[in-house]
Amino acid sequence: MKKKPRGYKQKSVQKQYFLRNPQFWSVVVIYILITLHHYDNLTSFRIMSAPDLPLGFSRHTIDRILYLVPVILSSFIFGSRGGLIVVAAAFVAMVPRALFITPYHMAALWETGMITLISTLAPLGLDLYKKQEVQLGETIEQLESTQRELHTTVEVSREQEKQLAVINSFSVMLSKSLEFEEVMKTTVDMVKGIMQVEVVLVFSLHENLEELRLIAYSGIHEDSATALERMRLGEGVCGRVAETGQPLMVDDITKEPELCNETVKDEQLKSEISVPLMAHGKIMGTLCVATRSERKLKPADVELLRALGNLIGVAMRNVNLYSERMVAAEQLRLSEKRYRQIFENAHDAIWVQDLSGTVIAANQAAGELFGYELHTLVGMDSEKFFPDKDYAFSQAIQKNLLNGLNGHHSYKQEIVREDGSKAYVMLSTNLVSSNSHPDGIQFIGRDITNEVRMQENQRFYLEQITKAHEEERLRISRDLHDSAAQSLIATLRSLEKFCEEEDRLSQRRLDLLWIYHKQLKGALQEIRQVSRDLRPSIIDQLGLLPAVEWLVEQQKAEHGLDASLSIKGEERRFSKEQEVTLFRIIQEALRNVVRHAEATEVKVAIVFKETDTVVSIIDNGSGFELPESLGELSRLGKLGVDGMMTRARLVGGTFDMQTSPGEGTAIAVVVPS
Amino acid sequence: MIKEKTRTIRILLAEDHVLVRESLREYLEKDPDLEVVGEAGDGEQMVALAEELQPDIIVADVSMPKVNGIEATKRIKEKNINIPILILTAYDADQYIFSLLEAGAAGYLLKDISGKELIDSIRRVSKGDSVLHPTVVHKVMERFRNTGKNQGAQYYGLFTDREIEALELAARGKTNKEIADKLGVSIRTVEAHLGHIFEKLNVSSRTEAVILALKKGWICLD
Repeated sequence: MKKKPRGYKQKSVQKQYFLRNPQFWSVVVIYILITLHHYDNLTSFRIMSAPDLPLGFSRHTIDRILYLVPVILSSFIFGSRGGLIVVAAAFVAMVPRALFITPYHMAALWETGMITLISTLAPLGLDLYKKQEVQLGETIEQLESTQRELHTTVEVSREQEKQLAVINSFSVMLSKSLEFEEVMKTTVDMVKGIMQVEVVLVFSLHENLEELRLIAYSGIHEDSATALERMRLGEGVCGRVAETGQPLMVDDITKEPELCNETVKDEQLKSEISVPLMAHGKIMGTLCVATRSERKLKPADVELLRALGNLIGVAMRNVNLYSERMVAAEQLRLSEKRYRQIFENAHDAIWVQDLSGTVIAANQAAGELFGYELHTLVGMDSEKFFPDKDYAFSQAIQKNLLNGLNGHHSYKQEIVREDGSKAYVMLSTNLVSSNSHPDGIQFIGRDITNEVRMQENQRFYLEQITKAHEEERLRISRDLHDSAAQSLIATLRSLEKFCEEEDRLSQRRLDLLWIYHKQLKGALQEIRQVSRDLRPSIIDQLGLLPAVEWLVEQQKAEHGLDASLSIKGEERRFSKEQEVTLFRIIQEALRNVVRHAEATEVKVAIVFKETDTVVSIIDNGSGFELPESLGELSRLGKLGVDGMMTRARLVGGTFDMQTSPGEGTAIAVVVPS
Repeated sequence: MIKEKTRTIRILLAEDHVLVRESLREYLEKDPDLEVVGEAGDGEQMVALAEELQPDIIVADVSMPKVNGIEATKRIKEKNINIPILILTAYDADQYIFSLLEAGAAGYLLKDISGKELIDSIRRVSKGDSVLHPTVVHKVMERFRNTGKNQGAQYYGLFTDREIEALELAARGKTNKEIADKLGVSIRTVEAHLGHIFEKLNVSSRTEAVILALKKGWICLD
């Protein structure tokens, strides 16, 4: 429905087009003139007389040939269709003459047919030619556009190549030096050249302070630089970029009052681009370029600047890391130096052994302690200066250290010096490790030989006193037992014998003698009691265990204490002195229990182990507040405890006491076997 | 010579105090049945003389120089010298009693015992009878019973039932006469049974026999 009016409209437009086209009319006029000429005998229109024509062609033959002119013209102008219409018109014009006017019908018809055929071929050939012409034009156009595209591509890649070269040289520059100042100075100059701008600013971001600091600039006055030294986050173009991390491009900053500050005005800046300096996704600062004339900024400019910004960001981060590392290295160097000074000048001997026991470092004091030159000491096996038994002990401690146990903070160790003499050191050991992997053991040793000697002397002195004390008691006890008691026994026997044999005495006298006998017996008992108290002969005659057993039973019998004795392990005998000493410790402990503890129960235990023997006395009494050091006990008047400690030391053992008010008291003495 | 033939008891005295030793000897020799054949001043001498003189009984003090009485007793028993030993001690502490009985002593006497009691004890021991007081015997049993690891161990083939019965009664502190009454036999038979036991166990006193039997778990007192 819609097609018809449009088709009609098109036709009327075509009609109008034809009617107004002078070329159309020229074709029509030519056609008419030829037709008029062709029928000259009817129209009397004659342009030329009949010439002598070869091949028997008549003047009308020429007319007929002339019809080719409008046909070709029409074909040219309106295409093959136009040409064919004119052919048809020419045919129509030629046929009447050939049929009715000319006397040579056959020749005329033949001519007419030939001309019509030729004139039909002409528009078709022309059309073909025209089509080829159009195709050629199109091809050329395509080629031209391809050429243009190619050209553009080359241009672009050249541009990119240039940018890459710029970025490359830039990155080479940045990687060349780690001197921050130098890098930034070169950076701004290069950016200025690359971007062809007048002003370049580089800010670094101080995150915790939330501010930007101008670290390099070019193209602005010093005063402006001072004004721009610190910028808050979010302030101005750069402040915004630092805040958002997105580049910002302003063609005319004077039109943006929010972004325009005094410095921008002073410097008469117009166009500005600012990009963030990024490193590993972190904003390190901003890079800002600006021109004083208004310049149409291209996205490519931003991209390039952005690429440069990333390079600067990474470089900046590297510089930061480097300087941090430098600072750390310097600190390390200083602390190493300090440690070395301490190590070398320490009064205490310090040395480090590797895990196989070889000395790998030692200070002067260590050399002096062991009596070796330092270079001899380093590289020496520690077995050489640790005596066998102490070596094993030291090994055990090292093993503990390696296993993460730190039982001994410091301990006494015997060492053998170069000249074979012995010395004592108070050692503390530490594991030396790197990356949580143990490399060796550090020893810090203080020469305590003098202290140990003094202690030994003191101990020896105390031992002598205690021994003398014990001996004196033994002597008195023996004296009483051996002389007084024996004399009494002998006297008793004599008296007995006398009484039994003497029959001359009166019964009364005899009874009196028996009474004396009884009194003497009583005196004998008393003497034995005194003697026993001074030194129970049981310890001398039977040894420690029966003596302790006897002692425990005595507590039961005499004080009503629930006392018990347990013996574990295979019984071992000690020297008489040691046994007496241990007996005295237990005796003193039990005496304290009876006198002070208000206990109802006491447990004595003797445990024989492979390497030592543990004697413990535990009561359920009142206990007491233990001073910080057991040594203070004597000052507090607890001389009994002090005596026990001394005695424990005398037998080469250790003494330990655990007590608190209301919790009873536990005493443990450990004696090496 | 005549005396010896009428069952004289030959005694070795071990006592370091000359005075006490002399008074003891004097006292003992009042009795025609007793003869002190040797005197030792210390433990070592005691062992040597025991071996050399082979007395019927040894009376020894505990506290003596060099080797004490208990240690000397142990040594004599170790040498398989079958002589009963009576220990004289100044102390009645249980530990002494246990120690000296364990060492192989036949019995112990407190030093302030009267001469009469001493002589009586010597006679009883030489006959193989016990000199331990019943309360002491009880303590001793308690002590040694607990050390017997293999209670109710087999004694078959070693003793006759009669012998074990006699030993068990002896362990309960019965005298030979009491044992004889209980078993309905004569004292001589009891003495014979015990004698056989001593021989089999290679001991010289009933105390030693009882302690050994308790330790081995052959007899049970519960």
